[in-house]
Amino acid sequence: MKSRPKKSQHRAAFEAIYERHSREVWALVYARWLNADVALDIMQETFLRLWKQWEEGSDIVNPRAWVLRVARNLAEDHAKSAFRRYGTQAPQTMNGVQGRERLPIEGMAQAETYSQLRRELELLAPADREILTLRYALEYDTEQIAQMLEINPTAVHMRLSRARQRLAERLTAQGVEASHD
Amino acid sequence: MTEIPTKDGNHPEMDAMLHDYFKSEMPRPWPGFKAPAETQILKPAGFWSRNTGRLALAACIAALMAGYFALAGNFPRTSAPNDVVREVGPNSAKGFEKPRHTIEE
Repeated sequence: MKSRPKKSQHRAAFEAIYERHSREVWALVYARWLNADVALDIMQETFLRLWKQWEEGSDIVNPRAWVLRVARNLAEDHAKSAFRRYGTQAPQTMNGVQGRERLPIEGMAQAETYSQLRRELELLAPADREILTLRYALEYDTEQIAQMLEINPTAVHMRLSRARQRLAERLTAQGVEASHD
Repeated sequence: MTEIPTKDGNHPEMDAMLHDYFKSEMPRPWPGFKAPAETQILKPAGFWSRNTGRLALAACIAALMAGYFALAGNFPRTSAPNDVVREVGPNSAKGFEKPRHTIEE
């Protein structure tokens, strides 16, 4: 029987796991929903569940695999609950709606560009969105993405290129001008 | 209309735009983990702690009764001026009270 580590060590070990994998969990859920708040909520819920398992003394061999699996399930559950809440309207339809606060003029053009980009991202396959999110939000290279998604690096490279090309074509067709800080 | 170039088609602007977009979506600063407040699991209460109130009440009643009987023995019984003895038994009429003089004249 394993002796339980001290409380502070126990917590430190958990926080290390959180620090290492929470962004990956967020990215995975974000790719599914393209909603930063939903991704954050589900990420926190995932780690809360992991924490409870730890507190109960469950032996989780691979915490990364565990949190990724739980996050995927929660994201799918959110799909079902979102359907109940919004009927046939997916919550993404509200993404383009701006808040009451007025944006500064210079920010409005960028917000519009991002809104169009989000709409185009929604049309991509979820797997392609995952790759794009890992590449650009977490700055993972092809090898890291391949390892995380358990696919061939060549497939990652091809899908990344194809997704970028498709996005560029669609945005160009809409007259979106690429601008960044 | 400006053409958006991609890395693959020699369009580095697309790369930069995606990078900026995803970075803007990520929460900043990244939130730390907040462990829920430690919950104490309450043990089921034992017999004594569960029934303290009842036991105290029973003890009070017992003390009162014991006190009553103990004190009652210490005081002589005084008879009422018109001593009335209620007859009970099979031969007594219901509700009939017969005065009986206990002191012989």
